[in-house]
Amino acid sequence: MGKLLKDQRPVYVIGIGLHRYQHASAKTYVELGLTAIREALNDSKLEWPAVESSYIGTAKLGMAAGRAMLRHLGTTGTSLVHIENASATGSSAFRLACMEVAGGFSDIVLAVGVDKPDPMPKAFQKNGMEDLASDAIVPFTHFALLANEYMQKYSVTVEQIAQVAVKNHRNGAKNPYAHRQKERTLAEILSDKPISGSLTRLQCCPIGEGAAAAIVASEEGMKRYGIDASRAIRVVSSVSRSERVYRPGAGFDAELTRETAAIALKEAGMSASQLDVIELHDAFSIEELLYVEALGLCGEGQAPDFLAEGGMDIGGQCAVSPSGGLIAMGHPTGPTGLGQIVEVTRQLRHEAGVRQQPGAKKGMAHMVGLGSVCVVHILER
Amino acid sequence: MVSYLPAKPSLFSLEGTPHLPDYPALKGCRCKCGYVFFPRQRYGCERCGRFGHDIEDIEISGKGKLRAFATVHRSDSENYQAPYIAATIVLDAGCAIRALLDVADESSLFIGQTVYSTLTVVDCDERGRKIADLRFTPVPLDVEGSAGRRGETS
Ligand SMILES: [Zn+2]
Repeated sequence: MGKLLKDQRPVYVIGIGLHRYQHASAKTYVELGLTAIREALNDSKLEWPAVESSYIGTAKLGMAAGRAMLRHLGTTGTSLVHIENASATGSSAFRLACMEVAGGFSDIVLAVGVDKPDPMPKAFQKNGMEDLASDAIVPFTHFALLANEYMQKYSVTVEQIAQVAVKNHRNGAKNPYAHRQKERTLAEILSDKPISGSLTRLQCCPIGEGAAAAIVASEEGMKRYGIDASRAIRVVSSVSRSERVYRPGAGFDAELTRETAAIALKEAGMSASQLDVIELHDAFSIEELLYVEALGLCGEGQAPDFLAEGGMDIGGQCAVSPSGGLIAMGHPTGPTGLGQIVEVTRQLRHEAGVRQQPGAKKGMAHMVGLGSVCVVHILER
Repeated sequence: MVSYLPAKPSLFSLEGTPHLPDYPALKGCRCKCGYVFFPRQRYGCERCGRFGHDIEDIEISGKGKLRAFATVHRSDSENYQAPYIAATIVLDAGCAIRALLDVADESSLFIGQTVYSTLTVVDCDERGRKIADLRFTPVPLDVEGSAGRRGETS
């Protein structure tokens, strides 16, 4: 058996930074990435030479994006490795940074995610296998079908699903880094451009550009540089899983989330009901309902009521996607999972301002990536 | 007699199975472990890892039940003109597939409804022969002039 993260050297998030998520602009990825990294360095009060190793998460830029960006921080000759794991790219970059520190290989490590919406080659389409209608049934229709099934199974309405987007747009409106920063009424969301099934455009995440960075450190590293321990947030579990063959008809996204989150909670010695904050993979509104049930925040079919009662609001039992989530904060892909770590860290430091979940102590970041993969981290103040 | 060319011959036959001859069969596999899957591949069984001779080709009958459906309003593919209706179908053989439905709108559809495979003409080749792709429909097609039966019509 392998060791758990928490059985090894403690790992802390000591610096966070973002470049706002936004529509594709003339800015280069280098500028986006450097903005997020410099903000994270500032936040940690570290200078770049303190960073001993870097993981660069990018799903769309192509080969060798890292040094072309990092060299402008002043070359230090340290290790850099590129990570691609579909939507979970940033989450996986973060996980590897944590493992490198936990394992004692380095004391201060950077994980940065950066992307621009370039057309990306899709390796999974090169398997030599045709499918009946894979180019006609893309992710938004996959989730429209899951929404249809969910509505039938639990007698849930289109309006109840769209309420996820109402909440996440409301949260995004308070987040200066969010791609979408406008509150939307239920009527606006429902009458927006139809995409697939019951999903309208405002219930689907915007895919633009941006960057997110997190610096993680060991206690030795923090001591060496005199880092303020009161703002350091411990990473208590890190779990990465991939899809298996489930019972016929089971939704693989929710099943994969169920088992990944359960392992992460067990390793952290927590139950889902103890979580104060979750940044969730809500690329489409229906996903949030499926996943909060799968990770055990409420029972099967109960998420619409839990949401309606305010249980998932900032100030409720557990603030779900207080950043605005993928629906409002956005989903530039490489940065997304790291942007979740940034938000959870900010929440657990009690530095989230108008988005602050009162008294937040325990937080989870959850991403699902095409393929499918699932990466879950739990942080604790 | 007009015969069709299958748009994706690796995925379906114009003919049905002996069990359900009137509806185009899907080309799948059965592993020694019992796992039935579609589409056909010999790389290895997703459930148990067996490969090669432990996996046999089978023809899967074109009949199943609707598990979910959705009208797609946005298409980024030149091959499909929105709106069209996509579905999750659990075939009687046990595997769940994603396919398009050959229905005009979703008003008559319901979850649990029995659906059958059918052919729809999507293109012609340079010799004017019609190319047919696979769809599913809740109405058993053996109406004259439909593309359903054996991929042929007189
Ligand atoms: Zn097998």
